[in-house]
Amino acid sequence: MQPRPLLATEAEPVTFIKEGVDQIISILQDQKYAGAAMKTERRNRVYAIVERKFDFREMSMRTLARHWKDRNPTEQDRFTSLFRQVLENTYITKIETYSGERVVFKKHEVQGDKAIVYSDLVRNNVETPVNYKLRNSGGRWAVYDVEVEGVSLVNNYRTQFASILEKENFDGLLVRLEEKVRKGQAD
Amino acid sequence: MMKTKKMLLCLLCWLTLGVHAVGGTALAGGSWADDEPPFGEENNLGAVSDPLEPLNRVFYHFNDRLYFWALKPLAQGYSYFIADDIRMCVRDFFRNLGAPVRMVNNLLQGKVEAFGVETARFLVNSTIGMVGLTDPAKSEFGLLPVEEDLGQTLGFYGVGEGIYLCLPFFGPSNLRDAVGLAGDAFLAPSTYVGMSDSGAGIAMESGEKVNAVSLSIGDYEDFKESALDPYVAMRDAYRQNRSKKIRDMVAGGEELYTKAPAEPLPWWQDEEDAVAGAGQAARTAATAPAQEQRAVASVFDNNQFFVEIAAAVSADQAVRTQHQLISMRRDFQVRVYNLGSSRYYGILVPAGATLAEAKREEQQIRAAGFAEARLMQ
Repeated sequence: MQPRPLLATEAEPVTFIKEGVDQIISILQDQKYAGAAMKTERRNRVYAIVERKFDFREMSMRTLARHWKDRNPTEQDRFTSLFRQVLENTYITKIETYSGERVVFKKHEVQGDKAIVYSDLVRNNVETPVNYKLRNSGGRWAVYDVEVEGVSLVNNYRTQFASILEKENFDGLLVRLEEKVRKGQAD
Repeated sequence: MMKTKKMLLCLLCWLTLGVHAVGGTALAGGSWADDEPPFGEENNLGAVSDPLEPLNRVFYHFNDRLYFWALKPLAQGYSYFIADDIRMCVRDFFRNLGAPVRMVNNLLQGKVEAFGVETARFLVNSTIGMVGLTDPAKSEFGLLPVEEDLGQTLGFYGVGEGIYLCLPFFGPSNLRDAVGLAGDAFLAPSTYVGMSDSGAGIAMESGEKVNAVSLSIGDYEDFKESALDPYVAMRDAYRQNRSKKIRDMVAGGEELYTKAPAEPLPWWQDEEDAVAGAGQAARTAATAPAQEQRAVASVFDNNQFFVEIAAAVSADQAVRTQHQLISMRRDFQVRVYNLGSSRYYGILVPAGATLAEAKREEQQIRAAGFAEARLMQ
């Protein structure tokens, strides 16, 4: 593959991630958004940042793998939207328990249109490696997978979806995702 | 300074134990280079073998209940009375007791340097670190633990994972790692405590577990919450994590992600490898400048002209420069070469070019904004 020339204005992958992490941490620490009354507002602000940084369609394609191309565009959109909500609902509670953990960015690597940003989440003096995988399309970076302690999120969901699709049809999977979203919103 | 201390410590430990006589390289083996996935892609682990799934699911639920009904309430009660810095000391204490397992398995895999690090950690933390209650090896000497166990050692030598197992109390495992677990027990202090008093052995294991849970309450809940089928999610997470641990890709071994060559040579690398060499550069950073001179000289053995455009740049700068040049003129053969501590960027003048032609090339490159470019042969 021919290396793609980088534009001078383009953010480096590590800057792109760090910026998002810093913005989210500052929202979580902002007294303005503290308290139960501001919970929805705070969540919406965090989601807005996450949506700028993640490519949920690419993640959906990768988690459905061979099942993706068998679906029509409406089903693909439906799936992408549900999967995005499942991820947002489950990880927002994790993010909200933030209590001064440090995020250390170690390095990033670029090959062609892909990049990996290596970071450590430091909690109780223990480092948890968190790696972001990014893809550049049209001059913009977007995360398509996150790897925590060697476990790829996309791979983990792919295995689960494949296991469900062995027993149920695609609509069955959508129903299960819908249930998950409803349950997540209730929390 | 830190580096020197670290090196000295490792050296000291090798010498005192006479390990240098064993010769690590003789044992080294297990190349993973062939089946590395492409950059940014996941390794295909293949289909899982889980013939015992019904039984495994029973044990999965057992462990799940164990966590919610026993471990978590115990850990919460315990953390109510014991401050977290003390619990971190307890964690470090148990971690230190695990050092013999890590030392032996590093050695079994021929990872002599890692063995030295673990040995140094064990000696430092058991003494200055007050029987392992603190971790000065990490905080003062920058020595990070190198997690290895017998399951990983077996995997390193090509033993497959076998069938998936969910063990009661121990959690996810597989045939290979369960064998490893039993083997490692020979080096675990709790085994010997348990021999004279089985109650004390179990108490020790449980204490370690409760303490560990008290420092990570919420992790398992979040994991379960994120999954559609927690059993399948756990099984897959275990397989992915173990596979990467065996290939040393979880912590500290990130350079393996990028297919870095096993040896520092050849230092001539293709455009595509420009980034791949970054990890290599870091590892061989200690190479002396004199060696570089020698290496530069041998670039020109084939009498080809070479225009060096940048010296001692970072991997990222190198890639940017490369892209910049390629976007200017497609026929530039832009190469990066990695000479230990620094990276050079250059353009290879086509073979058979005369000196005059090569000089014209050099002028062109200077005119393109690389004023420092110099022709070499």
